[in-house]
Amino acid sequence: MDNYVAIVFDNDTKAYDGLHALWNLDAEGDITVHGAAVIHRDSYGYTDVATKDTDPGVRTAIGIGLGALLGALAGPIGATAGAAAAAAAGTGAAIGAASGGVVGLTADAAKADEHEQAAFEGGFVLPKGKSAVIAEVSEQWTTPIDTLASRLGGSVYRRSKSDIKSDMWFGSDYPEYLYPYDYEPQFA
Amino acid sequence: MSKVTDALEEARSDAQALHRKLATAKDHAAIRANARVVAAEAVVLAHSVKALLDSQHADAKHHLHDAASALESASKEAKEAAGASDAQLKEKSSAMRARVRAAVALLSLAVAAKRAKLVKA
Repeated sequence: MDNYVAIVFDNDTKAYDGLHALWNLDAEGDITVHGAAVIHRDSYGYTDVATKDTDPGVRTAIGIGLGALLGALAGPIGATAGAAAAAAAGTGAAIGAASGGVVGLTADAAKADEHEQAAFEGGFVLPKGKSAVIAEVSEQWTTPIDTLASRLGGSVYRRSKSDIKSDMWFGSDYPEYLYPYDYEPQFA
Repeated sequence: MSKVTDALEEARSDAQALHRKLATAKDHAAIRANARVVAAEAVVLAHSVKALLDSQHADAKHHLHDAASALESASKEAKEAAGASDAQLKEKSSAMRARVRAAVALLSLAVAAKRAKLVKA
């Protein structure tokens, strides 16, 4: 299965541990990681991505592609809002703020409508102050990542890559943020 | 599953190292120096990837073919970046970087296809 996964942790340190553990699973051949990054949502609801500090010209604010991916992981409401934000906002910073909102919006929206709540309970939510590992992976079974998350105290959210691909919102920038190897995450 | 390191995994690792190297360059001189390295190493890696084609299953073979093409393009873009003017350098180095990233992604897909085949076997 080719999936996008989000593993939510309580803090940056645990998320960094999660990132390295994910790549260890790849090194052992249990899964294949195509790209991964750590993101963080601050107390104001702004979400940014931890890049390598040595990257030239890579913004730390989340761009259209990764913003759309976060929205898609969040579920139908997040996905719609993510697409709208990506289309409406003109800068990385603005989109980063918008996508941060999207990540939180999903839970609020679901709570607002009991009939639809069940549909979004499985959706990715990144609460304020939390961090997450976002990754594109190939996995034959879910146990390795689920066990990793359980061991490190994280919560796993998945969406099939084929489901998200059909949404067709991704820009070309999201691979820039999902590093194709393990790295030491740095928040600006 | 036990750890399996073979020529395909090594090719992916080499491509990852190439991409990692690009991320360390900040000034124009370093970017040009890296571009010269990428121009040489990407074409060597492309040959290595092509040499793997016959030993792989159809799914992996498809990705490897595309990865070799991406590496050849990366080498071409790198040559242009190495000789680019300051005004053109950002555009050329971005193109080079994108090609290397694409090659890593394709090699990663080939590795996933090979691992999936091992699990099914």
